[in-house]
Amino acid sequence: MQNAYGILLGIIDFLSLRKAERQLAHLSTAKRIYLRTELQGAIALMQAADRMPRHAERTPLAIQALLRLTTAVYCSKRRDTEASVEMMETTAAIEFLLSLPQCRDHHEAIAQMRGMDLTRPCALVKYTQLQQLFGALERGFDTRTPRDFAVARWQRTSLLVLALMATVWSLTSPRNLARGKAIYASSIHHDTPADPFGQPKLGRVVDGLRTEKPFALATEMEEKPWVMVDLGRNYRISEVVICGRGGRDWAYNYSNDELPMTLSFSTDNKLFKVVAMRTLPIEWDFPWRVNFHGAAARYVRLSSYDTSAKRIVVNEFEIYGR
Amino acid sequence: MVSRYQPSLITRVAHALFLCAALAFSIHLLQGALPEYLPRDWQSAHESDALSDWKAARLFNTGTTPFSQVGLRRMNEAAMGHPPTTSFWYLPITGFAKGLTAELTSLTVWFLLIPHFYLCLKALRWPAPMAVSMLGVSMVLSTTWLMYHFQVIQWSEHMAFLYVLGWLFLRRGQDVRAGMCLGAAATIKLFPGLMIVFLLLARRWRACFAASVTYLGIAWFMTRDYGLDSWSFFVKQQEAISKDWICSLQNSSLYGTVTQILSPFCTDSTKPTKAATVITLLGSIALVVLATWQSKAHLKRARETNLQAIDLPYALFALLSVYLNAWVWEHYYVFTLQPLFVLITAFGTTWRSCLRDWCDGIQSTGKLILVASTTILASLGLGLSVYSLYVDSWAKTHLVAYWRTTHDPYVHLRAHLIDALNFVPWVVPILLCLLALAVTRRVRVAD
Repeated sequence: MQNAYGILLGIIDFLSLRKAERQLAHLSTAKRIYLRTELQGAIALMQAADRMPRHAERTPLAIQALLRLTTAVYCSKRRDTEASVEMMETTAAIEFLLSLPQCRDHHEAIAQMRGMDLTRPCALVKYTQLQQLFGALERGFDTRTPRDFAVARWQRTSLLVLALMATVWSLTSPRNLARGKAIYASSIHHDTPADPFGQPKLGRVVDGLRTEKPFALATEMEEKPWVMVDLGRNYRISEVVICGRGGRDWAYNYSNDELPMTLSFSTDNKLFKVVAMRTLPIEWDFPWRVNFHGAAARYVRLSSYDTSAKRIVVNEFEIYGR
Repeated sequence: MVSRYQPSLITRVAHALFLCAALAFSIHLLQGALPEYLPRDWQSAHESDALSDWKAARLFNTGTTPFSQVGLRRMNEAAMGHPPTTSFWYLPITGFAKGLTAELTSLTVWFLLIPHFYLCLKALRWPAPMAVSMLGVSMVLSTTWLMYHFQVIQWSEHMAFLYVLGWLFLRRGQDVRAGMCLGAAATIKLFPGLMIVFLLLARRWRACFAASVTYLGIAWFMTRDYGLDSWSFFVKQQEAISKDWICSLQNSSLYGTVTQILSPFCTDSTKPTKAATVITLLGSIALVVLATWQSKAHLKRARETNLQAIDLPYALFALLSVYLNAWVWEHYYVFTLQPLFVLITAFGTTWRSCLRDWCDGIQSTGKLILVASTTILASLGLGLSVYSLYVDSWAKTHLVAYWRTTHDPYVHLRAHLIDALNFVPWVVPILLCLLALAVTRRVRVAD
């Protein structure tokens, strides 16, 4: 219940800043900067208290933090332009805290502070109550300027717009149809990495990893080698991305055996239509991208059409569409 | 008002989501990267880099210096590229087999990378340092230059980690420890010597003294056995090595940059020219003078009021110490990590501080726009640097080889572009460090 209330408060604070803005109109710049410094000092003290391992060490630090924060809150309530006030006495601070509406639920903790000797550890004060009191007090204490609110509004609106755009993009962008689908090749060179555990043969070519090994599949040197993905049924294809080999595998990397290459589509694995051609090398981080306007296909084949012996080496095959 | 003392529920949820996303993305990256590293046949590991120092260390007590023709023959090496002090670090493990030594040297790269990231992030107070480290380490592990580092068995990460330790000790005021780290780094290769000069410029006398004592102590220990001639033999060999390597496409040093601008791969001549040497020399002097001049105010502040003001000057000199070296290979990119973190933090802090002042009404809108433009420029530069680190290191060699056979204009252009990206991780952060030093000198930055 408390968590739900916290979320609600957060959302209200996220969406609307008007109330806080109105409350702060009377503070001068110098006073605001002073108060912010005090607030940051009090928060740092409280965080230091949290890090202390023993209760006896934590409590005096927490009380000091509370006194510093109370002084700052007291200073913010005064409608003069005075920038600094002396640290409040414990008794005065307790009286002031008892008068604050946000401390209404924390009278027990405030009462425990009464008559405390800060130089001695006190077992009577419950640390969690002090923490809650500090939290309640600092939540109600604001040092933001009108420009802060303008910046916060702008940031939050941008974040919301970006989040919305990302959601729309993720919902509407085409998915990689090739992932996990069956893949066939005219031949398999012995340097081709082993099939990943639990995945189908040559699964590395369609596993979604573009940088796996220097390559995921290499065919033998042969006439018109080919690599083909079977999507299982006809899809409307919008883009094909083929990632080439890369990295340190010099022996393969220095040659461009597969060029020139063609990309062909088929719906029946008999009649293939060439849809793109490549004469330039395909790099690991600069793949071959071909865009289509919803061409229908079930079989997508990459082949080398030259009559001399060639070898196709690929790292990843991605097919996008619906 | 959301609590600033304890993170709100929204913050905690966002933190948890980021952790999950970082973990998932790291696993995705590691799935692709780890098979590049392991398993490996360590017995047939590459011998001409760090392992040549191991072989030199094995000769240490035999009365044969590796810095002689006899020593080189016994080691089955053509030349020794590292100074006589480097093999000092292998003395404790001379009894190990080659496979074990190679495995230990390369695996320490992994184990040093993790604290490398974490210590940088923790020192610079980044949020979620564990998650960002995890993400950063997996991203670096999936770069081709770290794979190269691992394959050839090199020292770069070990030295870069010593740079990080030196920086951390300096920003805590523990000058002697910082000096010892930088002195130790200088014994592995010579270029960290510029960091000892930096300590001198920063007037960190105790650090400078500790670095010198560390270096000279190890140098004395090794020279006692190898002989004074080993140094002259080492220097003589550097001439021959530089002739072979200075014009390499892989060399991304200032010398390499100048050489490849004056005689790019597509021209007939790719030999080092006298003009390139003169430009490099003058450029090096100019860069060190400019860096010293720009760092003056920060170094003074670091001595007198705020130890952490040393961050930017240290990052700049760390980059310069590598970039001004005669040759810089891809695995040296590991030295750019700490400067990149420092730069991101510096620009981020400057922007936040300027925005805070503008909100308080003590900074003009004009200045805010200026700082915003600088931050956007810096973000673009940093983005380009990170992108360049992620580019396939071998693409340039691949493309140039292909261009030589086909003379295709597209391949030509792309090869030039990839070749230029080789220098970006050095040139852009150096320029950004100079810019950050200029900006943070004028704008109040919260310490």
